[in-house]
Amino acid sequence: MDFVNIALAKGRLAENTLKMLTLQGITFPDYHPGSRKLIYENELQKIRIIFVKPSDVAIYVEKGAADLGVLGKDILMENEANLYEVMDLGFGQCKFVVAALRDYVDQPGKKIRVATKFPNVSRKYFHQLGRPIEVIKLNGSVELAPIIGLSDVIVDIVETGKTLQENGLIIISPICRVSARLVANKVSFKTKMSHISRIIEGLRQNAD
Amino acid sequence: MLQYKNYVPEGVADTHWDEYETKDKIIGQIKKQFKSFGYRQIMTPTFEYYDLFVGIEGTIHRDEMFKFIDGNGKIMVLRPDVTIPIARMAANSHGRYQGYFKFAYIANVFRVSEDQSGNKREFMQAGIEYLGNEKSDADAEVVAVGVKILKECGIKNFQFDLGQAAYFKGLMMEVALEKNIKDHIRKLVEEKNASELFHFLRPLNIPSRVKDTIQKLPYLYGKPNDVIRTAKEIALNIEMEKAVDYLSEVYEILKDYGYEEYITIDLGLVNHMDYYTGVIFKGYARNYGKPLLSGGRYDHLTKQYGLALPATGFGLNIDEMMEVMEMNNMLKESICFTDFLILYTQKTRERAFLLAETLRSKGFIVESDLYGRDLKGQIQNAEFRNIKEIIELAGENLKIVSIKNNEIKKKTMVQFLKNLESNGAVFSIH
Repeated sequence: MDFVNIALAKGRLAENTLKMLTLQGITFPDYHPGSRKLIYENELQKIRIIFVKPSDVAIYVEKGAADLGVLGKDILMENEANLYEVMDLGFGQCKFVVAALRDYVDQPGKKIRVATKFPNVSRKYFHQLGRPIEVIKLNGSVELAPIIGLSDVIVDIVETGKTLQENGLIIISPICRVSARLVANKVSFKTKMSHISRIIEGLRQNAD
Repeated sequence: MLQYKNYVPEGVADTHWDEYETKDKIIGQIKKQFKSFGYRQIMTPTFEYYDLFVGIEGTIHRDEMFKFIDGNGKIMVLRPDVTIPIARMAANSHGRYQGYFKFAYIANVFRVSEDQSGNKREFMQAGIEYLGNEKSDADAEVVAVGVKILKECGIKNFQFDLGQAAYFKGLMMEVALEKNIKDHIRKLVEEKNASELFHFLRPLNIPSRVKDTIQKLPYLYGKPNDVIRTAKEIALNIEMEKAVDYLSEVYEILKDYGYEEYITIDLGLVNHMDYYTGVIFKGYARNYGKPLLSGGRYDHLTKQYGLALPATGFGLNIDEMMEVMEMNNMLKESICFTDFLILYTQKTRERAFLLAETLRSKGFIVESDLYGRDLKGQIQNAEFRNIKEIIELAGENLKIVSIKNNEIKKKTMVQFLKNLESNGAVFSIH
């Protein structure tokens, strides 16, 4: 039997995934959250986990370097990849929102300046509304942009909304919910079908 | 400014001689199979009018095409695919339809790809197109040629997934929805995204039995008999039933080809539904993340060029196939070599050429060069070029330096040629 490689991103999603795998008896004894190792194997069950950057999970899976992967729907929406999205794992819940300063007034017909880490998601959302936008791609601290006049609104993911609140921003419209997804390489899904479906089935039972 | 004169652009590459040798063998193998099934090789131009590709609901997006403008201001496209030009060719060059066409091609195709995605922008594709035969036998034959090629190229652990575009189309007839909603359903089915499909369908105003069938689609894959049975049970109209029957026929025919073990079915294969009209398929190799080969029936394509011909075919990426073979250590190392290097003097030159020609006619690879004083240099060069023996032709006799055995022998011309005859086994087999 061939190894099944699972790409994970260090952090909460990985911790939760590993917990779910443990529940079905798949463990990686030498793993602990502080370790710098990037590959762990379960020799007996032929499962290997590899740690990559969150934004790289999709490409590892799409290219077949990993057979399965766990990543947030936000990243999947931003970088559309050719893969199977086989399961909503239920954890890592948050939502995409449009936020702005309390006193922001939307002027219909005017191009909106949007600061975001997610240009594709933003474009798609506003285009569906028929609103032209100018995207300003930032890599972090997006909340700052409207305050210092860099943009009119921001598009970002929020969990509790606390960061927004503390920076004087309010949600002006929700876009959609996101959560952790299990994705699979389209070919591996077929060529390693029995092995992979066993893992998925186990995860599904523990997700309920 | 950075000078690029020593660099090749991303997504294209030089081919090393040993690599070329290997590729050439694979191409030879593929061509042989195409030919043996009666597919006649053709070639279409490297670039054509943008108009040829743009109005067509094809498998390649407009943004993926390399475009340029010629002297007359016309937009041209570097061949992004071969099927469309073949459809044009079939429709144009045979105004009056008399039977079927079986075409084969091996050509480089060009695609714009995202920066730093690691994707090739020029790659070699081989494929066949079977036009003018609407029977399931044609579908099965095309799949069978694909199976045979992977087998003959020594790829182990491969499988073919069959799908049926007409099944999904039949299902979509049951729902009166806008195209973009149907497209979204298609996308979720293609992604096997069952949970989102469920949430997306819930508020839609369509009958619950239709919803149930749509939700089952992502799971309609696996062993042919099981999938065909279930697909038939949940079919909602005659179109869907016919689609399953047709798929089942193709599978039965493939059994008679003896290829049952390679076939699985996935009715959730619903990519490029604007293009494909019937049975579609993909060939996968184990431990390789991309399909090696894909194709299917596209009965509406040639109509757009003025002659309606039912058609099916497939394309396979030769560069990717080589990657698979390399990964599994299946490439019979094709390392370039030379059998003999004949070194001559001015006096022996004529005799040397005569000897070289004699050897070449026996199938050996022979090089020749002027004898210099520096034999050591010649030996080094021979090692580098993988030359097996150096023949020095200085006087009457031959001095034979065997690089591999590290030995020198003296022989007369007659002895040497006689030796070759008796050692029939050492005959070059390039």
